Amino acid sequence: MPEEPAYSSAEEPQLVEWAKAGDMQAFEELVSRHRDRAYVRAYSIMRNESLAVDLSQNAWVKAWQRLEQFHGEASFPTWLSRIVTNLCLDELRRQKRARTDSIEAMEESTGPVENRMEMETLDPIEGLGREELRERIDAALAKLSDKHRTVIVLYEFEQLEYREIAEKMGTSIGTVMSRLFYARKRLASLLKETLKRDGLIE
Amino acid sequence: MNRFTILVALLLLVSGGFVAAQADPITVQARLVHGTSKEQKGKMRVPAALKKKLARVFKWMHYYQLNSKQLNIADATTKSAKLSKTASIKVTNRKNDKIAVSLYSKGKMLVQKTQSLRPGSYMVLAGNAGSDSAWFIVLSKSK
Amino acid sequence: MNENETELKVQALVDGELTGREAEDLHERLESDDGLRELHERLTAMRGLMTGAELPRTLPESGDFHWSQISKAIEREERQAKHMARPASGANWLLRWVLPLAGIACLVLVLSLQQTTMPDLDILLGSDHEIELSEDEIELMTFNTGDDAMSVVWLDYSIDLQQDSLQRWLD
Repeated sequence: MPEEPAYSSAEEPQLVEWAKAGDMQAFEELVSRHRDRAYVRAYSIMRNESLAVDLSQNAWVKAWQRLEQFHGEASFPTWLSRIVTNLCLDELRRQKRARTDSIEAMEESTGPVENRMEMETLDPIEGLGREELRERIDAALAKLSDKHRTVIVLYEFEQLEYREIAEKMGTSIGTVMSRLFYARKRLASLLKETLKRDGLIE
Repeated sequence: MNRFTILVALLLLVSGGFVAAQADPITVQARLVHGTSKEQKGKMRVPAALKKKLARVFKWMHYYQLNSKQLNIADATTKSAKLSKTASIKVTNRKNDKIAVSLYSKGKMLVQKTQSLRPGSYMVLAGNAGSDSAWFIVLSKSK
Repeated sequence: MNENETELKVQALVDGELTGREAEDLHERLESDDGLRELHERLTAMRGLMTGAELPRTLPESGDFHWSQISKAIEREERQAKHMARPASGANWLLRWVLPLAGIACLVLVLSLQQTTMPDLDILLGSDHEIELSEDEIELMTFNTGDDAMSVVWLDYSIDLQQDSLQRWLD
């Protein structure tokens, strides 16, 4: 009787090959290894727990259907992350937040006060651990609009180039640069606010 | 053989037949389980095998056993078990390996379910428990 | 565009998106322009801050349940794909469109009866299952797991889980 492969100790490329051949258990192992990452990426963009769960599940289904298109140009988790991101962007488009869009359009054409402010300096904070900083950044990200948060997530976390972001968001490179610039300034401003409020800086 | 002896013999045969048709006594375990995504330190978790079965079906990450009762039920008999302040069950040992389970809340019967229950399988009554958690009454038969 | 085009170019330089002659010219300008150099430093600091800043999170449901949802969705999609792949005949075209639509209608009906916490499972009621409801007609759903290891009655009712501590002592 042939021995069952040791999925939990198998290397990723091997798991992918098995999954491509139709081995669901191999795919289940891939899901087990990367489900949190897929969820995190979806949550970073959508900021909604149940939507993020649904979209990450959908991404796994799509990944299974498209496995034959994966040739190892990027790592499997990176490839999966792209699928998650695309589904999130589709969802954002579907949601049609017209009011937010019109405010953003106004902001981008005339510029809110923040747009004309200088980029804040964020000096290293004594005693501010990495974990706490991540939490503060996460809280600040939540306050950005969908478009500005998305461009930050795609650039900083997904590590896409301007051109790739522009393609995914269906906009021009110039708009991507503009949004990224505004998002960074807004993030810096929000972070500084919370640090001042908590007495960590003056 | 006189008539009296024949009658006794017949009675014995008939009663022997009835005995053969009766259900054996059974042992049913009833667990009250709380399913939640929030970890609760200090609370008893359900056995791993049960957790695995519940987690395949339901979305919660943690399953805590709040109460457990073992009921030894003779044939055609009903036993009760109180599982919480206001919730209780009655379990009847019926023929052909069937059990009937009635769930009561605040003295009123909510539902009764009758089915055969093989050792190793579970009958579950469940519902929402607020704060995105659920209650489960999990019944299993050991013999 | 309201932002200074040069500021955006400084950002592009920090992000490695400005190359060749443009990048060289901007580097030269930074040496003499305090304002632009300061902006370059701030943007670089911001990038540094954002490196690895994505907050780790754990999927808010059990891994087993997550996988069961994924595998069921895969099976559904594959069944649908097989069904759609069949050549349509005079009678079959109706089945091709009616069945999926009926399936969607059933799903909508089922979902509209479900709580958000209801599991998504086939609804099977074994022939030896009998259910009797109280007069109050509490809504319920019943199903068996595929391997018949578990039969479930899900009630639209919340029971009190509080334990009677005295009773626990007496038990």
